[in-house]
Amino acid sequence: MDFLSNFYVALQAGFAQFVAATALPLLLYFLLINSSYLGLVLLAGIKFVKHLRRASFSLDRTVAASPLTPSVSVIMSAFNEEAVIVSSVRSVLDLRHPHHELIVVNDGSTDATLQALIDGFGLVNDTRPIALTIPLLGSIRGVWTSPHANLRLTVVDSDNSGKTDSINCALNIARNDLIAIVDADSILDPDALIKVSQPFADDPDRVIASGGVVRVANGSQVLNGRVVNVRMPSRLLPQIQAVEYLRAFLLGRAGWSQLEALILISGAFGMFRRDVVMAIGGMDTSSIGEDFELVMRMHEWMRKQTNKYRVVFVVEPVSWTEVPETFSALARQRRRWHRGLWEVLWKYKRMSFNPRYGVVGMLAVPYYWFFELLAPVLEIAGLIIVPLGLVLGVIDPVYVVFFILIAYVYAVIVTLAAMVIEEASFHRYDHWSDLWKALFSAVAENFGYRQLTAIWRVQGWWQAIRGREASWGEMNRSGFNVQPAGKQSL
Amino acid sequence: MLSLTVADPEEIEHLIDQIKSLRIFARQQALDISFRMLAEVSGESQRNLALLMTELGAVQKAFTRARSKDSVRRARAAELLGLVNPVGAVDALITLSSDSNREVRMVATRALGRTDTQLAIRQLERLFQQPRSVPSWISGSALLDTASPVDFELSKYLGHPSPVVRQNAVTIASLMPRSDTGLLLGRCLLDDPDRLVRVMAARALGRVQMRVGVEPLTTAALSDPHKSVRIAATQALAQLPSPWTSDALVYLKSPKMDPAVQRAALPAPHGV
Repeated sequence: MDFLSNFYVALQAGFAQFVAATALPLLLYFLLINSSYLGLVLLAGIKFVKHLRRASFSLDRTVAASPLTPSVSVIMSAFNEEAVIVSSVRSVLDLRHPHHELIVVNDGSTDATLQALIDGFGLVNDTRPIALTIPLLGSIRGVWTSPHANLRLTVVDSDNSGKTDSINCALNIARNDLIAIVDADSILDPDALIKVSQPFADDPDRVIASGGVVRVANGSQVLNGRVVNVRMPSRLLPQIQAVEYLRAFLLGRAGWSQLEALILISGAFGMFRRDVVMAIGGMDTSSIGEDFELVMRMHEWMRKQTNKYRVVFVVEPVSWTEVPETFSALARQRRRWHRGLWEVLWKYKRMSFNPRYGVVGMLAVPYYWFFELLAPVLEIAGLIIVPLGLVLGVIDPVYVVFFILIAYVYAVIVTLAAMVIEEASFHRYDHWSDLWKALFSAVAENFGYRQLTAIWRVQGWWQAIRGREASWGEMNRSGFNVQPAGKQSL
Repeated sequence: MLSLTVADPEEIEHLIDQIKSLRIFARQQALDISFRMLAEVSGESQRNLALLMTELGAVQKAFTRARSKDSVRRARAAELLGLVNPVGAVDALITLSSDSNREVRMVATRALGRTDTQLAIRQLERLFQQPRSVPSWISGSALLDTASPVDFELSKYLGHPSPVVRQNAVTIASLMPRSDTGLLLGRCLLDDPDRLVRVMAARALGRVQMRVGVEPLTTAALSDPHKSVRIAATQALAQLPSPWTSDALVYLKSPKMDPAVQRAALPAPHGV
């Protein structure tokens, strides 16, 4: 008995010392992370106010009609997308833009993706040679193209070698000024290309990359490859992700863009200057966070060239994507994202706190290290330390309740700010029930979801450190809520 | 509002009176709707909506707001003046196109393209040479929008220090060709130090379809130091009438050429 009570006293004393030593750094971290969120909210607010004030004299129509608008090659990698590929391709071809082409790479699909494309668009075999300026991992099995000059579609059939290699394959064929990388399962807004290419036209010397807001399509109605009725998903898991996406894009990226320090453009929709992407050798096929890696490499290359440049974020919704509806798919996705984040940050560690890289090196990259990569570790540590401290009686319960309340209320406020901005700017949700769902999700994500994603993110990081092979895994899609043609309303 | 856009001349007055008799908020809404519709319609509908804007005092207000301290108001005023094009709009827009705010300058420049007077064209040509003031694609697009014939002198822009101006100039020149355009584009293709300008010059030569372009295109396709120019020149050659280019293309299709150039020289496959 004495041994146990001595052990308990020693444990209590040791733990009390540990808590005393870590309390101040943790509090400081907490203050810093929340202040940075607040800073980003304010910066995003400035960007959105500017955007709203400009809405009445938008230059979209001029971009859409001008022969001086930079041409765009849209690149789409497809793996086993037989069910959606024809409508996806059609919706991209129908996008409003004066000069765009689409290059689809069939990444060794085992279903009838290629045949669906050949039949759907009447493609013919194109035997002309291809220069492989960027070396490929997989070989090209054939190229198919539209025989009609006004249907600018090329399909490359290649061995299964991954998304990044497929994009490189398309880069070898693309000839337009800009490239836009889109996912085959994404739905693009009709003006997506116009909105995201305008910064390149406005500032052609300096803009090298741009991205727009990616929104969650689960629950929304889709007609002819277009989102026609925006709704919140019916299930809680995608609902929370819809709110998460709003926050990440509307606040995070808009805020960083306002600081001219955007280092991440979503792989679901990003536009880049082709000559710059070619000059840096295309996509890194070994990276699992390929979208992040590409932008970081562009930053590094441009700084080395000592050219003035900009990476721009367009605050308009341009792309819609389906998010995981099951915990297992979500876990895989979050592990992969965090693993990608770690790999890229580690690869470009020389940029951290390096004044040579300006705001990117001094602010954005350190932010991603401390508040994106490290945050889940600290969150999990808190989940272990706080209950243990309470059991051992070394942490004041009032302090814990106060701390948790502030942390979670603050998180809800940040999310609400994103939703207010969304509603004030775009008013995409017409139904009150959707707004209530979003509000509920903003609160609900703090009870279980945040903690689970923190665990998955740490798992992803751990897998990367241990050198386990990266895998994309398969996401079982439930498919978009496609409205039957008969139900189309005027 | 819909009735107004398709109304016959004798109905317009009555419809405008109806809108005038609306409450202030509804009237404001009618103005907002017509403002948005004006950019999308043309002909009679545009004239009817412009008349409504004038009758409701929006045009007069726009002239006043063109001098507002608020840049958004000035930009909106510029947009409206360009859409309605009342007497005095060109002078106001020329002033706004040199505004201290970049956004206002951009909107005013675009609006100038709708006004269609020689005064506006001269201002657009001036703006085109000042890409730091207004992006040259906007002033260039406005030049292309004007209904009056524009005598676009490419030679004035080929020595411009900004490659972006030169790029846009060669494209505009190919869309408003003069007798010397082919010759000037050919020189630009061979001599310009910027590879993107040379690419644009090659594309422009493909567009103008002048025989004088064959020689510089062939030279560029064979010997330009940059691959993208060689490809663009080959593609342009392939667009020209085959009797002019068959010899050059036979050579460019040969296996000793870069595969990308070969691909550009070969005709795209046709359906069965």
